[in-house]
Amino acid sequence: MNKEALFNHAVQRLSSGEPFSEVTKNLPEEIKEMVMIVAEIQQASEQSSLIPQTQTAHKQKFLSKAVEHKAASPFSIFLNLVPRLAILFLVLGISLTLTGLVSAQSVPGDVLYGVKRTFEQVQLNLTNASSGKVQLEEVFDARRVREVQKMFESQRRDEVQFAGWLDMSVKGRLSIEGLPLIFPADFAGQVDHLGNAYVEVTGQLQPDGVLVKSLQLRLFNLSGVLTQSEDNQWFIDGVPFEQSPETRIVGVLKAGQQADMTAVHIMDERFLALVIVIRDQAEGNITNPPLSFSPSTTPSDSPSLLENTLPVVPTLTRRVTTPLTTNNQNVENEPTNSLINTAVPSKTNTPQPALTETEEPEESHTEEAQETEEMEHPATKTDEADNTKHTPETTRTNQG
Amino acid sequence: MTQDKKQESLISEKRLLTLAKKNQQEALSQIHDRYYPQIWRYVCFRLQDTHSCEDIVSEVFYRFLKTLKTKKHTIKNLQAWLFGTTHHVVMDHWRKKYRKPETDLNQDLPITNEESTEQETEKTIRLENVKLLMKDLSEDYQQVLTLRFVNGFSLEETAKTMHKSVGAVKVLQYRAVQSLRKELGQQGWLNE
Repeated sequence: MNKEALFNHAVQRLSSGEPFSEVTKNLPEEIKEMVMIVAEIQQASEQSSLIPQTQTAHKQKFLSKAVEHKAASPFSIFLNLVPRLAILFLVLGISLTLTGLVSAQSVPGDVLYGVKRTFEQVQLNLTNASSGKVQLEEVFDARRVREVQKMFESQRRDEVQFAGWLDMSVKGRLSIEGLPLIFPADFAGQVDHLGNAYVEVTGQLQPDGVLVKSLQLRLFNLSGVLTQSEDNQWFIDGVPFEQSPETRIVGVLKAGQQADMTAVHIMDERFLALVIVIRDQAEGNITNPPLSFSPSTTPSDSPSLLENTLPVVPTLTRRVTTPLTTNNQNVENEPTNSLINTAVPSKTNTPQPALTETEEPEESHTEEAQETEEMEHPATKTDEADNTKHTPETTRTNQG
Repeated sequence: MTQDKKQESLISEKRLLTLAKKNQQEALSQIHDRYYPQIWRYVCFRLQDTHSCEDIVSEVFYRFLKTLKTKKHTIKNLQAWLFGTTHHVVMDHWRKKYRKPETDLNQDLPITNEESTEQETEKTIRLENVKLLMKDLSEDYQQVLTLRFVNGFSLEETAKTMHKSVGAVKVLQYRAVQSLRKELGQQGWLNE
């Protein structure tokens, strides 16, 4: 038996209560000394006697501490939940980000395209400032164009909707961001003056471009405080805008007032106001009933310029468009290089079918009251307008 | 028979732990009754200062409550956990207060009776010296000596508390006592 085994055996015997003298009998001196040290430690430990009162006092403290811990337990439960919630949010965040990233590459018809549009809508809803909202809308417009370009490159033949600046080539061909637009033969010559306009297009993808079904000016809704610079430039929520003689202003245009505006894009940073509604500053209400213009992120919400119709001024009903008739000289007489003039033709030249078509005005209604009613019932007026634009006779009557 | 008793004790300890987790006062009370004296003995042997001893035992029980509430399922063996924690708290205490034995040995001596013989006094001094020498041993040596010879833990219990095998505990205790013997020999205690 080696020294270690001898020692361990002796310690075992000592611990089981054998007398020290018996245990150490016949052990080598070295091991005997070691066992003696163990015996001394055992003896020394007995000196550290515990006073019962100390134990009782500590027990009371310990149990009351335990009660305190119990009282604090709801918070502990919350603390325990924190890491789990953090993981949950992390997983949620990652999956949302991944879905967002994957859906960003999607085009109409893809499974995740709806997700992409929902994300965009959420972004728009979360943006309060008009300037930001307008910028965001333009970013989304650019996305739509890229999507159509992608679909065009992959030779798809879907119906598409997109918006952007109209470009006119030297040969007189119109395109948006390089996407050629093909106009039906009966529209020939009627769109040339639209160069450099910011428009929305609905059409069918063809091997050589987009066959246009309808083309309309893209409308933007802005709202915020009106300001005016020293050089008489007006701004709404920091966005510069122009007025034309045809701009309808409901209320008095004054710096510092809250206003809602519907406008078309005329230059990189500028807008042409079509309608400005001043809010009642004292009460924070709109002086007049709100216009029914919807933010035209959806092309179908905007007034149609083609579809056998002419480019026109969006009227107060927003949905009413001037009918295109082959013998409509008013349109042909319009200056072709001015978008402002194109967008806002003079009252004398522009038929106002929506206003004259109102069927149920009360006798006491003024023209403005009729317009207001139209604003409140745009859908009705759209139908009326739709009826109107395909009946040249009616138009002529209205003009008369 | 002994094995059965141990098994019984282990099961009841598990049950105690489960009830303690639910903050049941009776279970906590039983745990305190069972372990306070043992932990006291462990700590006081290592410290010799009653105030620090009380503080450290309190700290161990406070950590126990905290662990019960905040970290579930970390205590699998109550005894091993309590003594493992006690060891760490004692070592932390020494790390903070450790000075090379500058104190006069006689300061730490227990008050002896007038009737104490010279031989008893010498024995007492020698015992206190053993305690002081233990402080200079490695953490493992200190722990194995205290658990085995102060608290009377079996080899298995010591192995569980120290997260080592029984064989390793045997080696450790042998080497720890051997180191103490060497130190005592160098101080001339063994030659007399």
